[in-house]
Amino acid sequence: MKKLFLITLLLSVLGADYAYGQIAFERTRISITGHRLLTGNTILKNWDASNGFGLEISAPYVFGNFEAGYRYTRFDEFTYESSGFHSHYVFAGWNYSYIAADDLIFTAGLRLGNNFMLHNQDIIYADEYKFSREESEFSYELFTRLQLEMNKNTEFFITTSYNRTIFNIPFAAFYGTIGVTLKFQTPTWLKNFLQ
Amino acid sequence: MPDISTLLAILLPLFVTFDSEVSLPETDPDSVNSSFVMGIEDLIWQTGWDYASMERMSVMINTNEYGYYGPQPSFMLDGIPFEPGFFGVHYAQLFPLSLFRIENLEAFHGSGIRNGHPYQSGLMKLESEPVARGISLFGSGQLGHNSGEPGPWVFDPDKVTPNVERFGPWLDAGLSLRFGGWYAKGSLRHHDYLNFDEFIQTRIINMRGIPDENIWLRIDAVSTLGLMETGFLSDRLEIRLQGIKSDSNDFLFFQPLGREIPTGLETEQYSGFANVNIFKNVGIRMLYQQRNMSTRFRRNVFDFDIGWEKQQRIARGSLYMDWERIGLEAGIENELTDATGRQTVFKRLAIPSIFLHNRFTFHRSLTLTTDNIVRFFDDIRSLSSNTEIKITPVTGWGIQLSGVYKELLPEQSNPLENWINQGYDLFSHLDISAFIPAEIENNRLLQFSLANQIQLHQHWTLEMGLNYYRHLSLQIPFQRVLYDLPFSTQPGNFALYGGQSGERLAAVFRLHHQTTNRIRQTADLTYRTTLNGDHIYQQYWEMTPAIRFQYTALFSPYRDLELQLDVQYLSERTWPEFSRLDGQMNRSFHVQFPFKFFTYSNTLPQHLRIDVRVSKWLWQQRLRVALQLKNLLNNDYQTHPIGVREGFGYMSRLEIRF
Repeated sequence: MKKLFLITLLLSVLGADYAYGQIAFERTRISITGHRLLTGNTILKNWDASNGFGLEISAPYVFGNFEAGYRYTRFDEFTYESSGFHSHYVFAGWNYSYIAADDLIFTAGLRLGNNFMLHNQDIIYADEYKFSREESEFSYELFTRLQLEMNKNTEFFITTSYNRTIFNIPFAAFYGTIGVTLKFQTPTWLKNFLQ
Repeated sequence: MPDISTLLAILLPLFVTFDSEVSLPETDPDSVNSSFVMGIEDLIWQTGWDYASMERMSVMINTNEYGYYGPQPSFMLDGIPFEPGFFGVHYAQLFPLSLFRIENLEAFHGSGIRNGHPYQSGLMKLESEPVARGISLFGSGQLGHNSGEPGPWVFDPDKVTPNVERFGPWLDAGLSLRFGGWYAKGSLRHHDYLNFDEFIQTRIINMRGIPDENIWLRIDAVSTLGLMETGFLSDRLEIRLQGIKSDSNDFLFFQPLGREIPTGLETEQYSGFANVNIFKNVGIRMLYQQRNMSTRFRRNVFDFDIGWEKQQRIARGSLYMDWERIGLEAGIENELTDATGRQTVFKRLAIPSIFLHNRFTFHRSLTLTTDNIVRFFDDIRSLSSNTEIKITPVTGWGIQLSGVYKELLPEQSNPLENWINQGYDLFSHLDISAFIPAEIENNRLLQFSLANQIQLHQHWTLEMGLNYYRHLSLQIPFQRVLYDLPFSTQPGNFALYGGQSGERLAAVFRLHHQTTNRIRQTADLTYRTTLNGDHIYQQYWEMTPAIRFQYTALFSPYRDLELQLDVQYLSERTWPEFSRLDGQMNRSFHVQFPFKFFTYSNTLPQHLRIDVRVSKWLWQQRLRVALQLKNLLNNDYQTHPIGVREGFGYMSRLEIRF
């Protein structure tokens, strides 16, 4: 019974892969996203995150999909004057899609990237120590996404993600994201570039 | 010039066979995967040697024979030797090629002769990517971070901490031309390394400052290296003319002082190399090299200035014959060294040497190889003699028996102490009180090895080796560092303990698995122990780990994608030189947000390190991106008691080539 379950699971996964990503970089997905910070760790005591936007590009690889993207969020200060900052998250990642129904696709993946932060101003302590307004650190993200195919070339999706930037005091947050995706045959020049 | 007894000493091992060298840990020529070579430690990983690093950019190497402070390995690129460091500290940025353009890496242990190059304590032999026909260009940028930065709490005095490490940007670029047999290439490397590690910065902040003038020395290390090379390559002829020049502002760990000194490093090297095949299997190799290495004053609170200037001229020629049953290479070398910087009495060191390499294949299952090197200095001479017997009893099983008797002149084994004895007035400028024997003995080592290589299965190979070392006379430099609260370390009395003797045993197990080119994995387990020896001898070897385990798995599912997993375990090590720092505080008296201090330990605990790497080709193999996630477990491990504390970090690189 256990073997049968494993074989069924394997076949279903393989089926999804071949159905969605038969040939590397055959089709390209471009998505425009809007997101909201749902909850987070201690950072929320000092800053208030605005809704943000982003851009994602992905293409099927032989197994799963490669993706790259950008996400912008503005954090306004609660406490420290002029400490607000712009967060620019640049990432690349890999995800895997499972066709749950005719027009419903479930995707899960991992993103690795850098969280670039730009504060409103530099700050100087004791007339001596200058802390730059530019700050950046490695940031990873785990996400799950539900995609609804509107037609052959368009999708609507909703994503939940857990993001962690590994500062000395780690910055962890859950985001909720919605987006619209345009799918098209990858132009030859782009396909050549990706291969 | 050699006398009759010297010639006999060289020729005798041709007929009587019982000495040679370690053989098991030679790496596969193609074992390096250049897409994942991000730093110097990735190269050392391939060799089976140990390293200790202050700040990840430079390393001291233990090649298993002489420890971290003994003779260091030789380095060779495309047949031309180079020296990427000062006083036994090797810098990644002084390698004359971009690390991702290494085509092959071979590591040879012990002493021997390879391609007409005699070496005394291991050889790292690198080959660069072949120059493509026509015009080619390449460029790369590399950048990395370590975890633990303050992040958005920069405005919060209760939560911020000083920034930590930033690697890079490292920028490499090059141009090459090849038309027929003629080629020319040039490359430029510019590395900027901002060392913000809290442990290091807390320790050295007082050294960087000049409080009276309110000056704070920059903490970054900036290095620029240029290489120009031209030559002619054909089946019969290989000619290379090469020039390398570098300039760095760096921090140099100086063992007699027990800490680093802010120092400028300057190197120049000009080489001419020729390999001429006179007949099908007979040829000559010739090398002439001039190398200038000097240090430059860089401001520090002590006004320490090493003032090192060394000029070296090496001329070498050899004749080789390479037939199926017999191989032979006989050569002569002359090495002239001047160290003029702080020399009170001018003295030039001239070390001529002769060497002979032989290979006899008596039968397809029995091969005998010998390497003999004799060096001369004034009326002293030293002999290094290796003999190796390779036996293949049955298909799939190879045995290697080898033995070594190796003798090194003090000019080779302890060059710094030798220069001090010759009147190089360096220690007084660094306030180091030292005891160095007036006559430094030759370094003498006896070694026996047994190695087995067994083909377990079509894709599986097992190697097992046992190496026995008997140091008849080892000269050990020792600086028992003093603890000092403001500066953490102060030099104690430096001594060179001469004539130390003892015995060591090393066992190596390696399991290698490879299926086509898609999967390759290697597990290495090394165990080393000191059997007996003098007190200082035993202490000295406590600095190296008794157990080292390394596992590497490379998976290339498709031709444009590579994944690699690296795992390393090192057992506990103790550095007796820093015993007075053990349990003491590493703290700063400067403003910190929040106040943070560390505690020194001269014992480095065992640690497990796991790295993951990914690389992807793009644009029909013109563009490559590589990412390394380092130390996934985020263990704060160290390779040196006053060196950087490793945490989780990443390194990324983008390469482009046309």
